[in-house]
Amino acid sequence: MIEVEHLTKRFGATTAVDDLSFTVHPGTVTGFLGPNGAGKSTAMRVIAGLARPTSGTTRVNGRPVAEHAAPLAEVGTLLAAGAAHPGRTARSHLLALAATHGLGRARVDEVLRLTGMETVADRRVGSYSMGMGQRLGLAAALLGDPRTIMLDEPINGLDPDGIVWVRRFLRSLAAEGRTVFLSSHLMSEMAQTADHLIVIGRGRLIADAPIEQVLAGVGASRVAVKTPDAQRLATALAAPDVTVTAVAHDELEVTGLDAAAIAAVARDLGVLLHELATHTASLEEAYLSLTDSAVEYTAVPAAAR
Amino acid sequence: MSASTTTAHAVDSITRGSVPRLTFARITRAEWIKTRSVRSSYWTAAATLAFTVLFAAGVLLLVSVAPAADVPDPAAVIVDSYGEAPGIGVAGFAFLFAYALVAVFGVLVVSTERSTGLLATTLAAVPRRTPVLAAKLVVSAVVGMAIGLIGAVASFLLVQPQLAALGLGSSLLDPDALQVLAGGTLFVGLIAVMSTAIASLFRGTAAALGAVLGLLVLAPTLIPIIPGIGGEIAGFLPSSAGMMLFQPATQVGWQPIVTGGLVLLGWTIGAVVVAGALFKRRDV
Repeated sequence: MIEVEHLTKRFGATTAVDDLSFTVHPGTVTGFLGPNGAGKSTAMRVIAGLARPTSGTTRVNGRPVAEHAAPLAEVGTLLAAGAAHPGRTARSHLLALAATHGLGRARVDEVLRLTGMETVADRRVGSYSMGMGQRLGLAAALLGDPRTIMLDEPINGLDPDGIVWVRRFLRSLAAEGRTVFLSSHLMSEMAQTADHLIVIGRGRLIADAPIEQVLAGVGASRVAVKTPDAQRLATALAAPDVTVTAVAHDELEVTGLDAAAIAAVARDLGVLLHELATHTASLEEAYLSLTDSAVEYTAVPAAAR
Repeated sequence: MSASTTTAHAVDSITRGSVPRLTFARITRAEWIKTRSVRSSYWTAAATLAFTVLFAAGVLLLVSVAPAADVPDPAAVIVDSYGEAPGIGVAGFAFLFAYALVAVFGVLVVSTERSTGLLATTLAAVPRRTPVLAAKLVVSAVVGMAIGLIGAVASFLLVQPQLAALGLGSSLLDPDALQVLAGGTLFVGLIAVMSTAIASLFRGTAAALGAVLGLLVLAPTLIPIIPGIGGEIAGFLPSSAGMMLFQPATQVGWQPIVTGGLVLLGWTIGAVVVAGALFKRRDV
């Protein structure tokens, strides 16, 4: 369990994290989502004890990390791919880290096996691809068999096989009752991995809810209609709760009516339909509508200049 | 969140072994594993030994080749350069060669960790931090002292047979020899600790090396050039002062040795106190 209470972190005049509070519960995979620069990494670094909060408190499994007798057994952390000396082998890197807690070769071999790194364990970390660096970071995070796992952008740089593997792996860790907390700036990643979402923008909490609820909150689905008689159909569909937008001369976008209702109107009218497709708001759209006002750097459309 | 659900997972190899828990001995062991698993450690150690041994070989050359040419009395030349017990003098010079490289080693112990991002991984595992710095200082001191001592003893053993042939032999067990070896070993140990402590204040290896070598190597050669007060100040620089530690007491007396040692110790303590305070507080 991770508890963050009124966390604020400033760097000079910049406020990276602004009065952020949330709790990450065991047994679930919780996604920490926000645009680049939203303060995710900073918040995680404070939780891990690597940065001091300007104000507020963070606790892992009930205590600040520094107060645990065996921090590696409480929280496994992956911050910034690997973070290892390029001249050292993965095995030596892990052996050194394991040694701090009196863990030995057997446990290192175990995490190397868990992360599929046995064959490259005796190569220097500097020769690794980014994906292998991520696996090494994950292996390090697992060393102490921790109750809580906190990963900053763990999927960055992984190949498709690796992504699927990490997802399954994180899900299995959560299924064992552990707390799994991972950050990403990509909503699509979270859709397939997380049960719960904590969304931040500009250092502030935007949403803290189960993933379905975040999606549902973003509102109605829309229906795309293709018909040679767009004008006539649009007039017939018009109603107070219905929005009809002409996307092209033969295409409409309708919200407020479902596909069945639109088809019925078209039949009564004798209008031919070429296409009728329902688009549920995607996670990306949900995310964009949530963080729209909270993106630190927004590209200004050319026309608006 | 009942404890039973969060701790029910399998802990396999961990429960079979000892309880995973931080101790200072374990953290020091981790630092030792780090040191012996990177090439730079071996390079600095090898370079130090190469320098000291090459120097000793140079002395050997003087002893064995020079007499035939234009040095009428090699024994006199040697006594002139290295004192009544030249073997010990050569051993003392080994520390002079060793200390700059030991300082480099001391810097690398901490600076590569910061510059590669490894420090974040380390401090996430040991979030209390102070033991990490302390362990690094211990490893730095022990390795620095080992390199210096091995270099000095090797130099001595290399030149000893030839010196003995000239009637200038001495023993490593002479009180003077023991004092030079102990003092020199302490000197490189303190230099290593100070270098690691100072390097921990910097984010990059280049900046850390610049600061440490500037203070320990460059300053002692440049500051004496300042007219009037330069010489006085130079005596209080850590390396210049500390070098008194491996002068034979029978030749220079104990007072300058103790003073020099205390000056170096003061610098080292100062560096460690500042490093300890900032290492604990700063964001990584």
